[in-house]
Amino acid sequence: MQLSRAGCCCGRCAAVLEGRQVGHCISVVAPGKPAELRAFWSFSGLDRWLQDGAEADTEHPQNVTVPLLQFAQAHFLASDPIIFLVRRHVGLLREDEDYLRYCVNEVIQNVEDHSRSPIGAVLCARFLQGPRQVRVAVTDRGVGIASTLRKRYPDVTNAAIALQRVIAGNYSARSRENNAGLGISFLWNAVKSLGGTIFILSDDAIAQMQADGQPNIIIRPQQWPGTGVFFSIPVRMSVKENDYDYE
Amino acid sequence: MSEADRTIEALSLIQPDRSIVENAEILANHVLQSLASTHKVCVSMAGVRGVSSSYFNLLLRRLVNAFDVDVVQDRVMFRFDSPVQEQVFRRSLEAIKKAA
Repeated sequence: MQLSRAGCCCGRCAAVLEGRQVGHCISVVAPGKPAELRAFWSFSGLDRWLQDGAEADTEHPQNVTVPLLQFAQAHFLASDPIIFLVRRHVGLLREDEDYLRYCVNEVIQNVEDHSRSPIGAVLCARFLQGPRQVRVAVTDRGVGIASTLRKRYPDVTNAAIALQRVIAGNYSARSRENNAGLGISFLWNAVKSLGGTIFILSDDAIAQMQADGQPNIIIRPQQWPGTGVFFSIPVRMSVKENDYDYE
Repeated sequence: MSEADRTIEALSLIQPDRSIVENAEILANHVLQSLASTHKVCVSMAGVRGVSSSYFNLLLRRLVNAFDVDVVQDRVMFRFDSPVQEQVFRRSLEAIKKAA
């Protein structure tokens, strides 16, 4: 399977994903309208992260995806569609559910606290049956991580430094009382400990998790206005599928 | 730590239509009110799913603003429902201690 690189804002992600989904039957809901959302879907790299070149299944479009969902506020129910998506396919261990909810909420809280994005952000997710993996993407059109951190740390002169700092932890713009500079760092480590993978894209830099869990930060020629967080988490086999007590 | 005089079920205070941070504020106010009338309070996180670090950051910051960190640790105990809850809490607590 070849991925289209045309218009790609995140060639690195596409390169890593290339060829991994061979043989998986997938369906994806891409936003039809408004046109701005459709353009955002393509421009942000969400289509490559979630669709991966596959044809959309119009008969059961929500079977394996959480369609693009726009939000402005972090709340406990934000992760529900993703949890329900996974539960449609496999029994979900409670510990996995907790980690998945935590990771989603951590990202959307960052959007609310720091991004100053005029559109809020969009979230979407997909479950990959073969590798039993859930893939999540959250992107905004905000000011970017460097701009936020620079208010408190003038030496954060570019996005690569900013990504390095927030992944290491204990660097916070303290935009709000609830900030302590832990969110991205702990998110990164949570995904790492679960055996997943994560990319964080902000302005012209991208941080990609390497095999040893350390970030590889590179500068891209393209500028992404805002921040995107793309992560995947494997879902473990429960002792008995669907044995979870769904409330 | 000895038994708490009162247990607060965080889940019973969750308002799904409010933000995560607003929910942390609600819990913080509840704990502070309880500490005004009882010596030790237990906060049970049973059933609360998906707490982000902001939830514990705000809760702990509000408590530490009212009492010293040591007093908070002595008078407020937390009962966790999952490893991720406890990990997020521990990291928040460390950050709040450093900042105090």
